[in-house]
Amino acid sequence: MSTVGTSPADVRALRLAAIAVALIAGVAFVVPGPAGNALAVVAVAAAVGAPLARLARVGVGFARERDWRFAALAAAVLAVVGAGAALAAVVS
Amino acid sequence: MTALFVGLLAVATSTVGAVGGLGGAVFLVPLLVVTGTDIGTAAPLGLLSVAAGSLAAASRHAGERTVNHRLGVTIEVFASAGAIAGALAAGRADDRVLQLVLAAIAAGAAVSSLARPGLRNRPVRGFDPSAVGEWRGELAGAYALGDAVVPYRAGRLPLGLAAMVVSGLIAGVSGVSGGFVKTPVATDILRVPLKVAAPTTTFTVGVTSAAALLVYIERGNLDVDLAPAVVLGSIVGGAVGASVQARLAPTTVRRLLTALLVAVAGLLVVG
Repeated sequence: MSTVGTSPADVRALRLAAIAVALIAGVAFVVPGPAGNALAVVAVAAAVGAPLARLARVGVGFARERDWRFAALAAAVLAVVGAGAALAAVVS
Repeated sequence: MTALFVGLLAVATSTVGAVGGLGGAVFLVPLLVVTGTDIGTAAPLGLLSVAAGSLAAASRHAGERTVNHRLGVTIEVFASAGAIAGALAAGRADDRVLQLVLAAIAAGAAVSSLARPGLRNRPVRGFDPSAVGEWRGELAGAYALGDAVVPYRAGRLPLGLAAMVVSGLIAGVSGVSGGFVKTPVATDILRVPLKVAAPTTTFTVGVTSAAALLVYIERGNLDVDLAPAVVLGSIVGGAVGASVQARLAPTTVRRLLTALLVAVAGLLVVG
């Protein structure tokens, strides 16, 4: 049995991340003007970054369990995402 | 369109999406389009909704050990590549043709789901409860069902992973997330129980949508004024939906998934 991504610490971190992103988005929702816009950008960055950070954490967990095949697959997904963002920057 | 209205739509669609493991965008994007938002604005908001909804459901799925991360990363290598290709090609496909293709896929998945009532993977009593979760080094695991344990093992990988590329393409082009393809593919092709497939899909659609959303953000296509409402609404909806999903029996979830897929197909045809 593997505990990758499902340890009590992981569960707690995921719950806190969701609450933090919701709070930032909530404040951005009610604060007008440039401050609200800046918080909106932070909320978007956090919402986009959280699944990728979770994936990275899972990849590290696989490596710690010496499950190299799946650690490599997690790294490959992150590489694909990074390559896609870089490609989009070049194209646009 | 007001941000409050968009936020309420995000709550409702993310709740429904998290229950079926479809991602809420498959409902949110058509509803936004029907209520006057152009598809170019609606698609990245849909992806944002999926990423936020995925985060909201994550702690519950992780705590119950129903999400299989090994299956998720295997699926995601293929789906993310498809999503990025789709996002780069977005706008080049005819919207109506795309909608009809998506509707046909959703209807096909609904028929496939309906054709197989009951459980494929049977509960085993006396199975070691410590086996619940994903298993090291393989695409297999077990989940708890009452006082029994249901072991499972993914099969037919080449076909399933090819279908995951298609789901990624759909996510990238349309912004509706490929969840409504991924969950039926995981259950009907890879033969993973729905109680595991839905949380695993919710994990993977978060990554797929983040990958595609990065492309939209690079192009300046995300409406920052509506984004906080979508994030907040989707986190609330995702948490509620994951909680509801955990309380339902597998057969109930499957019936609900079938109904949702029919609704998706209808929305796409009408839209």
